[in-house]
Amino acid sequence: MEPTGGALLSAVDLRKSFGPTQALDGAGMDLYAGEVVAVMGPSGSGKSTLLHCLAGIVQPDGGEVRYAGRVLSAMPDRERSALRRTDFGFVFQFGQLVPELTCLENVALPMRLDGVRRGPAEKLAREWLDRLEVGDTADKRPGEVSGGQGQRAAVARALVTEPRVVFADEPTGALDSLNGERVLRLLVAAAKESGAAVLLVTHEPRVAAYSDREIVVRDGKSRQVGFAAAEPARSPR
Amino acid sequence: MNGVYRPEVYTPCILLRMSIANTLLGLLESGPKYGYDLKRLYDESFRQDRPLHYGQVYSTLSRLLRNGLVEEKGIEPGDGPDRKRYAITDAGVTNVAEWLGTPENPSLYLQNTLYTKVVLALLSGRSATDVLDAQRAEHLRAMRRLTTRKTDGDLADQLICDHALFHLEADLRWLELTAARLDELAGQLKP
Amino acid sequence: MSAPIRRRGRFAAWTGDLALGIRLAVGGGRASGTAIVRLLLGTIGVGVAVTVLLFAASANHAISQRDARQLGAVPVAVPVAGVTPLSLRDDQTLFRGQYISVRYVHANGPASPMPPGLERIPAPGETVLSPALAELLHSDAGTLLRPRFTGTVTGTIGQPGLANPDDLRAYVGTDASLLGKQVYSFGAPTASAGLDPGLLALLIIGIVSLLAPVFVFVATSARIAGAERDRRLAALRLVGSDLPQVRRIAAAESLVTAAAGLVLGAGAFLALRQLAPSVQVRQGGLFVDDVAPPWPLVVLIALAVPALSVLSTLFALRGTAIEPLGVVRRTKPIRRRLWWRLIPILAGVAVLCTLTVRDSSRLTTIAVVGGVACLLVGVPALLPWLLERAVARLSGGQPAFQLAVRRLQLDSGTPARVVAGLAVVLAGAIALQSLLTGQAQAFDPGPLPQRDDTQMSVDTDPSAGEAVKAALAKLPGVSPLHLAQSVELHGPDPTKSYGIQVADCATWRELAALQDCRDGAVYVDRHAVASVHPGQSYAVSYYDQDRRPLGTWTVPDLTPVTLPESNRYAGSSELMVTPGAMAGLDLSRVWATGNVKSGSADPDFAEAARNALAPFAWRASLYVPDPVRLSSSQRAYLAIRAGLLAASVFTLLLAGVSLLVLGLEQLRERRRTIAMLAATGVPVRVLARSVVWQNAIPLLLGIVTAVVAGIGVSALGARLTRASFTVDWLAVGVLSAAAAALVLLVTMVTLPSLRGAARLASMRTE
Repeated sequence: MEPTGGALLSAVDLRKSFGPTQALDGAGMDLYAGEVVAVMGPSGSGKSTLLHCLAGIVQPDGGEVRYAGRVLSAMPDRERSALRRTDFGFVFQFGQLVPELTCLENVALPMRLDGVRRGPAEKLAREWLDRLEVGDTADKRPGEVSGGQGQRAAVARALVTEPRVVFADEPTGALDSLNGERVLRLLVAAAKESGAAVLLVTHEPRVAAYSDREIVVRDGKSRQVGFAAAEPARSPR
Repeated sequence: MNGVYRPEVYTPCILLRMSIANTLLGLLESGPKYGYDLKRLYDESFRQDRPLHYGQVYSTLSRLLRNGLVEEKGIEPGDGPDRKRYAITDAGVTNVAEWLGTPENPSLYLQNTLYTKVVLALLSGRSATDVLDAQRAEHLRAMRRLTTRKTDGDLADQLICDHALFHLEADLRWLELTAARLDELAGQLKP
Repeated sequence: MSAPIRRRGRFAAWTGDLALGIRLAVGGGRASGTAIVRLLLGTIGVGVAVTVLLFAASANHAISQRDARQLGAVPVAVPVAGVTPLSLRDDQTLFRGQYISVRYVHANGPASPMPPGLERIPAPGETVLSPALAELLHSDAGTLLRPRFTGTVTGTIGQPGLANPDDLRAYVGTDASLLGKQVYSFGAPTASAGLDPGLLALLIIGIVSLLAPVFVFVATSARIAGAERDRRLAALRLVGSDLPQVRRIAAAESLVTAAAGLVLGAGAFLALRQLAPSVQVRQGGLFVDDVAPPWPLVVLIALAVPALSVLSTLFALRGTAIEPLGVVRRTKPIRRRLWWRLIPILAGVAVLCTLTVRDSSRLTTIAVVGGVACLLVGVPALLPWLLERAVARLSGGQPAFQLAVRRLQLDSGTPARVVAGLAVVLAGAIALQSLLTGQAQAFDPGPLPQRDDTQMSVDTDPSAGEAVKAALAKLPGVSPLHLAQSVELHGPDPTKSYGIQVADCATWRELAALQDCRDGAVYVDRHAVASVHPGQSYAVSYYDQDRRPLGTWTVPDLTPVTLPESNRYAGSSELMVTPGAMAGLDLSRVWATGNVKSGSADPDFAEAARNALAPFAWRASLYVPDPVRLSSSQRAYLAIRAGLLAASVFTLLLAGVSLLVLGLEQLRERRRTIAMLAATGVPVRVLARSVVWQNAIPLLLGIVTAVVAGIGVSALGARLTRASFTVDWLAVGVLSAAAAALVLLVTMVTLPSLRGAARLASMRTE
């Protein structure tokens, strides 16, 4: 086991329940800079809740989340929101793009929220769309593009702020194998290139195979297996 | 050598012989047994399509005896064909533990062995989840290698790797399913 | 052998679809709370509208019933064969600002006519009180009033004899000496003159502008939770329903809401009308059973509300194609067409331009109602088109603004509808305000001056004059009473009459400082312009309940006098006559009038003074003169103004409620997107600002449209009411600001629900 001191993002003994359902029951994990970690487990095991806690979207009932030396789980909502905007990126299964905005505006949105002017923000957003091979969707609304294109625009939006951690919750869940792989390859490659760590929640082994190591969540408890120490992180490239 | 999927290396026969020896050892862990009991227990626990031959049982036991993994516990008088009792040695217990702890190389027809391991782990009070998790890690390691190779390789590579990946994924799915049903299985094995 | 599958007949199929829709609307709630919320919101929406409509429909009946009863109590002096007349004298007394009508009656025979509401005519010494007066007399506050009603109370005036439940009224029986009208029957044969046509147009425009938003509200209520319903209908399509079937099912669902709303509205109406006696409408509450809508209107409401609800549902389904695998909203909605949206406005303008209100026939009334309704309905029809055009050019700006604009570009219909109801209210209110301002020059009496309680007038039968003087003199701090008799002169010109005052020299010395007064002389103010000439003969009459002739009088020589500035008492009367100058006429029955000043401003002093005169019964009364005499049109104007302004506040509230319901509904439908945005770190503040923009842009447009429409209606209305056209910009500003404040308030109220949506729970529910 590696010392936990060097982890970028770590969780210890997380507990969270929604009403009578105990979603997390003492889960913990570490995420190191630049690595891709798959979180696996059957549905209902608590893996999405683990991601939400790690990303500061929900507050755990117990336990602690640390990010870059700060206790994330003790921050007020405003600070966590700011952190999610600047340091984290998100790719969900579907629905994270604002249906009213064009793909370009969607990708530019996080920068604009951070005060970047419209011109430069949209210029950078266009570059990212091109990089993810969906430059032609720039002026279309999410409802007018295919699922794969939409997910790639979502990846562009997640990465455009050059986050340190990308949270991906079943990013290919709504896609077929070919489109899913394309999205994953681009996501992992772009993340590795910019040095972002990726937390990849999935129940598909083929998706998890893009990770450097995996964590298994079962009944709200997590298990770190195949630790990065056993085998150095390697770029899929 | 481990990691890359090479079906041609292993044959079902080798696999079968190796696992029968270890299985009998495992069955002896709960206490000394007669050869006949071992055969019956084996047939009942693993629901083999073809029951184990006596000959196979005795040849395996004599091999284990030779390797010092089992010992004889004396002959009792009676009119049965063979009334020898066998008990597992410390070396035998270590052997079983090592076998269970060592993930199988991902390969075709793996389930037989894996299933056997899971049942044995449950019967011997070990953690079947550990067995499955170890196997999953091994499978994923293999899949990662394939994924890396696929990403770097040409189309032919990709197709070959995908073929292997989908098979490995099927294994892993079976593992997940089994993991989810461990409680049910344990209930059936322990009356 | 299998029988062929029997297909249902067309009728059976239709009823089957309707039944399914009804089951979905009612039973669907078992699975999801949202279905219940939807049914509840819709029901409340329709219910509120139905209540308002029922009250509006009852208003005319309530007022006409009251007027009918008031007319029914009018005494008629036309002789009827076989009827012994009833002597009747109308008097009134004032108690702490409340008028109490007192009728002295004496039955001259058993066949004397019975005033409405009485069981028998009170005998001398008996009194019959209205319930409100009886209650007042019994209360602690009535202590000061009791000395005025000393007779034996023998009964209560029934509803036919009362205008309002809180009518203060008494019938007092007297002996045969009563001087009064000889009444042969009760009930004025003709209805009182109708409203001034200008006022009528004002009233109609007001009512239409206030009711139009109610219909807009019903229409929007039918669209609550549209998206969710569409998903349900899509599921029905998947199992094989065709489009007409789905429409019928949707229609049945909204029918359930409308029916529930009708029941709720009717119930609320019945419950609320119990409060009618305590609601002051035109000086007085209403009898509960007066507040009853006529049956044709009830049937109309019961049919129109569900019909409107169903039509608006079907209209809403027009824009969406419900396919088996979900609702396909056209990503690029059809461009809205302008032409049909202009039809109501053009029709309204055309009608109002060609009409003249000179002939206040029924047809004209209907046309005015139609025209104004068309103009006002034009606002919600035009608004979606205007909004679409306006936002099409917008882009960029801050992220919050961008989010709002893009959303409006994608679907401008819902926000436009949200604001449309408010815009109609605003347009109506502006139109009303401007029309009222226009009418004000004709009818507004301005601020009413305060009544001066220290100045009192005394009327008395001359035979009781000295006793009255003595009774008043006993009160401390009262100036002495000087009584003068008033008679009228009628010359050859029948349209002109001249009032003159007759008093003895002692009185003139006090009143006009005529120190050398001589009985038999007639004095005239030197500075007054003489209009009565010496030597001319005039018919003389006096007024006591009725005009009564006295005879003929030839004006003698006039003695000019100089009145001191402080004693311009006779300012209204040109001639100061002494009794000797009118010796030929019998003045003994001409009532005398005098003024009394009290030293204290204690309002109870007037009550004490009236009590002092109580023993004289009908022979003397004391009143505080009303400084302003309002014409009936002025009074009607004031009542209409107060009523319409109160109603517009109510309608504005209604619009606010509908705005809130639709705002919450919109948030509910966007929960997932909001949650996703919040998850990726978009501050709730930005989302809230985008909601504000999203409401503010349509609102701004709505206000502009409403101001234009309101001023347009008032301009056309001013032509009809023949009042000068003025725009009350202050009122326009205040009303617009109120509307804007309402939207901001509603947005604020929806913010907690926005915060709720921003929590993760919304993501999990999907």
